Amino acid sequence: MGEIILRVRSLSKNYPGVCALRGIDLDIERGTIHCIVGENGAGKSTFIKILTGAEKRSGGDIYFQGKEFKPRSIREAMNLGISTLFQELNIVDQLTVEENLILGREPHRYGIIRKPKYSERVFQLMNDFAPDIPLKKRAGLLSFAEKQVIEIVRAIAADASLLIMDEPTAALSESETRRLFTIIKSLKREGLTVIYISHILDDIFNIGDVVTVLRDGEAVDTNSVKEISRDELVRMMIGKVTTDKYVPRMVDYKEKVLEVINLSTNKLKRISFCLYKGEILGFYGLRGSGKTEIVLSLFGLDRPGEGSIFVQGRKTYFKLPRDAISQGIFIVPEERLTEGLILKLSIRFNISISNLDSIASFGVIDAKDEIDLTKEYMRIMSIKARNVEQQVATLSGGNQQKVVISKCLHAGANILLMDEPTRGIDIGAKEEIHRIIRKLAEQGNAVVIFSSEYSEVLSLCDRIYLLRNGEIVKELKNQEAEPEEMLRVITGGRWNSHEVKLE
Amino acid sequence: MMWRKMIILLLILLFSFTAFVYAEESKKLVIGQVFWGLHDSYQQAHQLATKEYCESLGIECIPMDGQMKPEVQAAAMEDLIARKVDGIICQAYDQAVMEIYIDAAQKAGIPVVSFVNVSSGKVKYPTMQIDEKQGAIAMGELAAKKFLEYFPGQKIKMATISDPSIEWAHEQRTKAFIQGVLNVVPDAEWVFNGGKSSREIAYSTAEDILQSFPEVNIVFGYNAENVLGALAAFEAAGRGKAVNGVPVSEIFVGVDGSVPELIKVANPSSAMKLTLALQPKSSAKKCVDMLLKIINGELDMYATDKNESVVSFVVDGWGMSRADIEKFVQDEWGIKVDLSR
Amino acid sequence: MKSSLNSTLLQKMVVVGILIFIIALSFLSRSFLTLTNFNNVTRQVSFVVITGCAVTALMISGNFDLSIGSVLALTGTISAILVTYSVPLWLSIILATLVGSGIGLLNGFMVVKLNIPSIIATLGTMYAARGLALVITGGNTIHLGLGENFTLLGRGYLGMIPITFFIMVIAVLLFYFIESKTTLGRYAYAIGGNRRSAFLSGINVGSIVVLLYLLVGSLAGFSGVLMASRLGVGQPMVGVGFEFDVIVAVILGGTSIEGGEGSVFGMVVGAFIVGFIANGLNLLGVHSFYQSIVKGLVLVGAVLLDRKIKEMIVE
Repeated sequence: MGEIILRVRSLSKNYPGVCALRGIDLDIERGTIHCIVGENGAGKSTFIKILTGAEKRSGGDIYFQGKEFKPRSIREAMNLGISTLFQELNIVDQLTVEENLILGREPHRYGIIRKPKYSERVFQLMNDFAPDIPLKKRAGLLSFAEKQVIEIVRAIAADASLLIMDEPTAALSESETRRLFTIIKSLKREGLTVIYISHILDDIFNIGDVVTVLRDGEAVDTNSVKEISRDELVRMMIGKVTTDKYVPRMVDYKEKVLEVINLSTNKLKRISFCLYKGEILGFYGLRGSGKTEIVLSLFGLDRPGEGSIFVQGRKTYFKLPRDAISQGIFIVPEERLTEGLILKLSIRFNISISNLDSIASFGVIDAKDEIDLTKEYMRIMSIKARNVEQQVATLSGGNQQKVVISKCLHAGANILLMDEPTRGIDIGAKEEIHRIIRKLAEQGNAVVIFSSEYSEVLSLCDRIYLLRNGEIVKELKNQEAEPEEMLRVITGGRWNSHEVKLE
Repeated sequence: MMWRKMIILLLILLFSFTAFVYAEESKKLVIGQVFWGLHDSYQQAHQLATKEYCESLGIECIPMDGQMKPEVQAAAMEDLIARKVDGIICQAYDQAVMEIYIDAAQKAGIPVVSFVNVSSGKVKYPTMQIDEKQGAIAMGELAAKKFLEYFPGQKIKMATISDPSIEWAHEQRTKAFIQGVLNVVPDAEWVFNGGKSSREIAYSTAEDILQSFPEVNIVFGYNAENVLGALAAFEAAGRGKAVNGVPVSEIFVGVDGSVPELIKVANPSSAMKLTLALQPKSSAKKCVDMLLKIINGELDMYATDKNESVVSFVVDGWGMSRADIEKFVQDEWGIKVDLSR
Repeated sequence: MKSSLNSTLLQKMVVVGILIFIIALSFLSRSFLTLTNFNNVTRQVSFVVITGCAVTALMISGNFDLSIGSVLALTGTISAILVTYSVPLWLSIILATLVGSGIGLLNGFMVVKLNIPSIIATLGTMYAARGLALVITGGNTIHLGLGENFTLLGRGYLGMIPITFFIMVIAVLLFYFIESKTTLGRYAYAIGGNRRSAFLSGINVGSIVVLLYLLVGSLAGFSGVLMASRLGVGQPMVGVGFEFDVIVAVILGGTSIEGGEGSVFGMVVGAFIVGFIANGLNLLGVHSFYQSIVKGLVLVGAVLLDRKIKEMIVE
């Protein structure tokens, strides 16, 4: 084993209500390409944020090149030798390539910028890696991959000895990815260490030396890439197969509560589907496949160009969320913290807000009714909190989501649109939310789940629509659903199927 | 809870600090003075002179900044009445408002001497006036004569930086000056009037003048802020100059006689040659003396026929040497200056 | 009485501070607990408090109003002018207040319907209303023919206590009720706390914001009438900088500048802190230039303290 450049010991991070990292131990060897993989919410991004100084850790130690490492800002981390290639590039579109390369370190005398010296390392590196990118071109005219190269060059020129790359190929084409890999390999030859974060397994097997799997804020295992198979890796990422299994339910497919015919917007293409009373319906697709757009249209947030929506058989048209709410539709938004809740306010205020009129007369709120009602929801949903006055910001993710669901019910909704209902929620709480959803359906509500997690769709939904590029490409009954097949359909066969193979 | 203790401690400190104000049991005679607005150089000189004079007499004087706001002056008067001072000197921003509070002070047994504003009739009080009109007329006449000398054959076009809503100043200064010019040159033209009492506004107003009336050849500002603001704008445009005391393109005339003005007047290469110097020391002294007369029973607090006045002094850059001006400043404004800067 | 723990603690501490202040002063000074001085401070801050009641609700909803100082001048001069045209006093008060409501409505319309940021929209009405006040008065003070009754509201007494004090108490109680017991108050917190979430919860965000602007305009309008009555004249230049006095009181009272938290009682405390400090420094003969510095330090210090306390609570 070679020299350890970065040593992480019991690193932890707590956000209010959520534990993002639970004591990570990790050693990174100099001159390797060390991959970190994990599902969404496993703690990858939190880990990077702490390493780059963008977030403060809650506990633990980091030693970089033998010294204690505690950066207070991204710049400080950079000066100490750790540079990061974020998903959002830090390139100023209005400046030229050359200006971007020397941004922040322009040669100057008394504040007046002077002509850069082309003998500088940054320009040499640029010439080595991408001689085809003209230095005088406006950065705004470059492709994403080209901008990425500028960032990488900039990072290396700043004497980084450790480069963190966060999902660098997510927005790249095949050939661009190949070029990036060539660059990464030559960096390695120069003795640079790379932490490569991705959930695309092909990439890891392509260029990785070592791989660490993160799951639920813990480092599950670290292995040499050569010694691990894809199947093993996938198993480690997913962890124990949950007991949260689909139980076939009796749905009476007679009463249509919601029917959508040929709904089209600039993102959606002729979406038609129907929802029955007591049913849990799933929409499964990748990010950007149109799930969110369907929610927006059904909740009066986006005006469909064409198509019609029928609620309980009556044709309706929603201009505002209010109109949808009056028809018994309510959403559990994808962004719980910024759209679902008012973090500064109490549980009581958050639940009652969706239908204040029901507990008020002439605009005066009956505080006793409100408290009773909140207590009742806290009991039904088993929301764990000190009392009704606790700020929702201090609740755990699962409990926060229960508040959002309570809010829906208080609004009198019988059609619930849930966009990624368990994103960022701990496993245990996830199952609890699923139980609540099943119970709601049994009580005669209709629930639509929009999710990019096949396990969620599979364990919950009676029927599943598969979405790709704004189109419904397939409708499945739960019993017919095969995870591999579903993945193949929604990715259009682009992804290697065993990359995400189940058990 | 450390913070909590610290906060409370802080509050106690802060509040007990203000508490001493109320606690101070003054054995001395205490008078209050409500100023028009202490951002102004004359007002500052007047305050300083009052302070020094009162100290020499063993009187405590509380200056209150009226900030050119009627409601601030009202609050200042209320506070002085609550403090039960022995007398108040005030200069109103809005006379109608001030008279209500003069009335309130008198009802509380506190005599008031008004500086500048003369009783309008309803509320009666004595005033220490400033006689500026005579000086302003004299300046107008002198400026016109010098104009004929330096700009032969040209027609006088005057611009004034003056706020008509400050009636007393507009009447006694600006209009009197115009009258003085017309006394000598009857066909002189008054082409522009505008501005407030602030240097920035005077500056931008003068920029407008340079745009619309570049032919202007006499500029008058009714106080230091106005004339200096306008002069700065002209200087920025390359004008406002003189050669050996002979103005090149126009004559600048001011009122107030503040040090920055006097520096200009004493400078042979500046076009500003005249200013009507208020006499803060004499004025401050006379205000206090009048108030003391009432307190000592020599003057009735409701008297309106015993007003006194201080005549303003024309500082003439053509007729006075630099040393003359420096001596005047030393005597009146209490400032030792070197005007050769 | 309050939703969040943080504000309760801060409020308690401020109230404790005020009590200590009053006790300390009454020991140290015989003249402090005199009614005259208390009445003075009350009258001086009553305008800030009365308008501040509505401004607090507006700022809780995450919006600003910079036009209140100009509205104060405009409605004050209008009420004076109406009286000189022998309009009955009570009617002139109502009409002038309605002018304030109208400007509030205009502000709300610009912010909600035209989507102009509230600071810019109300900055516009700030200049326009001031200009209007100068135009209708010709820049002069309206002081002739106002009659004895004109100063009744602003300077009159009910027993030993100024009438403005009672008006202030009524306004504070009314807005405390609105803030804590009504749907309007709740919606204000919700909108300020998270506008998007409030909208998704089916709240008619636009009309609530317009209503809050209307209330601010109305109370600023009424304060203008009171101010004219106190000064005994209609003066077009009153209330310059008044908007900042109000905002300072509201922020000192613990209202977040982003909205979502705050309280009317906090604002009252903030207004009185500023009032007492100004009153005290005035009598001490502290030059107004230094007073301005003290005001700035108190404001920034208080907000910093508030944040420190909140951080402490979170940890």
